[in-house]
Amino acid sequence: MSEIQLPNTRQENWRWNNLRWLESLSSSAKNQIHKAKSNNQNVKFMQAIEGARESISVFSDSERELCELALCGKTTSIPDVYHDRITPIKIQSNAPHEVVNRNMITRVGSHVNACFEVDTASANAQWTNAWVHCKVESTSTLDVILPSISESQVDSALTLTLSFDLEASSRVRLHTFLSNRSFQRVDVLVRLRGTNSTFLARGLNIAGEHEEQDIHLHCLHQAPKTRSHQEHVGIAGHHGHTIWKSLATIERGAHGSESFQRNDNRLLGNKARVSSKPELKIDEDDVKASHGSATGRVNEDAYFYCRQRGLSPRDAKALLLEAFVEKSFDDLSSLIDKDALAAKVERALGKVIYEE
Amino acid sequence: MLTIDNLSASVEGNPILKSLSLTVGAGEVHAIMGPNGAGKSTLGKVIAGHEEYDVSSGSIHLSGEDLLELDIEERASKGLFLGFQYPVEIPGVQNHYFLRTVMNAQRKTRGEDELSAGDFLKSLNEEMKALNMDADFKKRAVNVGFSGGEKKRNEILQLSMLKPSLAILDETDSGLDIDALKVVAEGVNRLRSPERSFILITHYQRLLDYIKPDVVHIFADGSIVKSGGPELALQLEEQGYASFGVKA
Repeated sequence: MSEIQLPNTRQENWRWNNLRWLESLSSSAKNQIHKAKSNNQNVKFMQAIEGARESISVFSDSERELCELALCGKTTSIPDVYHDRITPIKIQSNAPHEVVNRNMITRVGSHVNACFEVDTASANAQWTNAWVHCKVESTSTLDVILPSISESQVDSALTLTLSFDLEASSRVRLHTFLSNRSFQRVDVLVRLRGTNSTFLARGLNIAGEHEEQDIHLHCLHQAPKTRSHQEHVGIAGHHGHTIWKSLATIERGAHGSESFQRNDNRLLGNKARVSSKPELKIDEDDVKASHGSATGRVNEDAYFYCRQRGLSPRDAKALLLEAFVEKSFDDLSSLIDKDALAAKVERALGKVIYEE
Repeated sequence: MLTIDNLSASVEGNPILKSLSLTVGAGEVHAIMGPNGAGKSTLGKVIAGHEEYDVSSGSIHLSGEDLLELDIEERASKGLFLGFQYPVEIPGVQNHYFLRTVMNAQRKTRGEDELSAGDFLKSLNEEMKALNMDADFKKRAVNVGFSGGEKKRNEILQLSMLKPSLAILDETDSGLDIDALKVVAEGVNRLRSPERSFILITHYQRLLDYIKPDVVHIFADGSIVKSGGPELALQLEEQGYASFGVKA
């Protein structure tokens, strides 16, 4: 029996479907899961989960957390959070020919400033599937960085869900960098549950030859004066495909909330593809929301300008693309080694330009 | 220095330059004046090697080098500089980083060693001071948020750092107030030398009040219709293009 329905990577909504059923569990199902888990009865445990899929009821925080834990048979919790250094979240998988699931859940306590680095360098399986859930308690701030630019697992796939629950006056700042895997799909689910909670996201996709780099974000504004701000850039190389889809939902009662989405892309080569879809669903009146998306080739005037000043075609393109991705590094936590990350991005860019 | 012989060029099948010939000697300053659409800016771009234009006949030689055989960046490293009418903005690239990168790229193409950071900064500070530019221009993104005058001054800064043998300045005076024009003109005059030549593309005589040309050319319909000394520009200012048989 499978623990969870394995994703069909081309299927748009599989992850949302998997999360949605968690939100419809009955308390009896919860009890069954809890009991099975306590007794370490794996078969019953899994049967309970399967049964739970068919239950429908109102879902509370504690139920959901329990079910998340129950669902994730291999859940690892990260109990300690330090404000003066990065807490690594390692997504590891070693079996080269298997689909591997790794799931983690963590909590950032009140009044804590934390920084997580989701490290995918050891995800060596042909397909690694992982889920990281972070609950951010009131007045806490959490920096999360996902530098998933593989330098050795180019022919592998990674599907990763990051979900965040934010309590009052808390803030999550997310930076994602995706490149150098055949397929990467990152789903980000953000619930702004507390008043004055804030979600900031910056990201970069670099899709090299025959790569697909895909990020989907869903930000739910569920409380008054919540704020989300997203800026993402993508570069699609020859036969590469970069995808950015973002949905911000401002629910009824989220008075005074603000949402901003922006996506810019550059196409290199004739077979490059970009999919960009900013989307807003607004159910409240006194809110501010805007979105935008632009896709094009490298600016020809700037390209000629650089070459006239002495740069080769490749160097001119590299300079302009490095400048284009520069804003992905804005607001990066000072705990991150920005130079090392920039060097990785530079190498990924060099590869895409070379392949053009 | 520069020899253009019987040059014809077109864009998307439309002929722009028509059997143009021009010789600019070492250390000379030539002014090219002409009405809108005459092909003045095209001439600068064709000499620089812009790939949008097709050269159907003729030749361009700079100090004996056949420019038509060279790529854009190779022409630059041979000492050709094109000052843009509308300098391009490059968000995310700091001015000093851009300058050092392009200077070292040219040096590399010429087989020279890279410039050290110290030598580069010393030279940059001196040139910026001479052009009356604030130090913060170094760290600002190339031309981003610059006024029209600041952009043109930045072009002259690049010119003074790159020290080309031939500089083509395309309407460097457009959009400049009188103070900015004086600063830019002083910058150009400071760089005049027996080894460096200039081609000034302009609509107005006023630039030539500050930069004295050796030769003035009247340019119309893709070729030079009349050449003369500085007095030709004054005559043009007084009588207009029609007196030279040119439709403005």
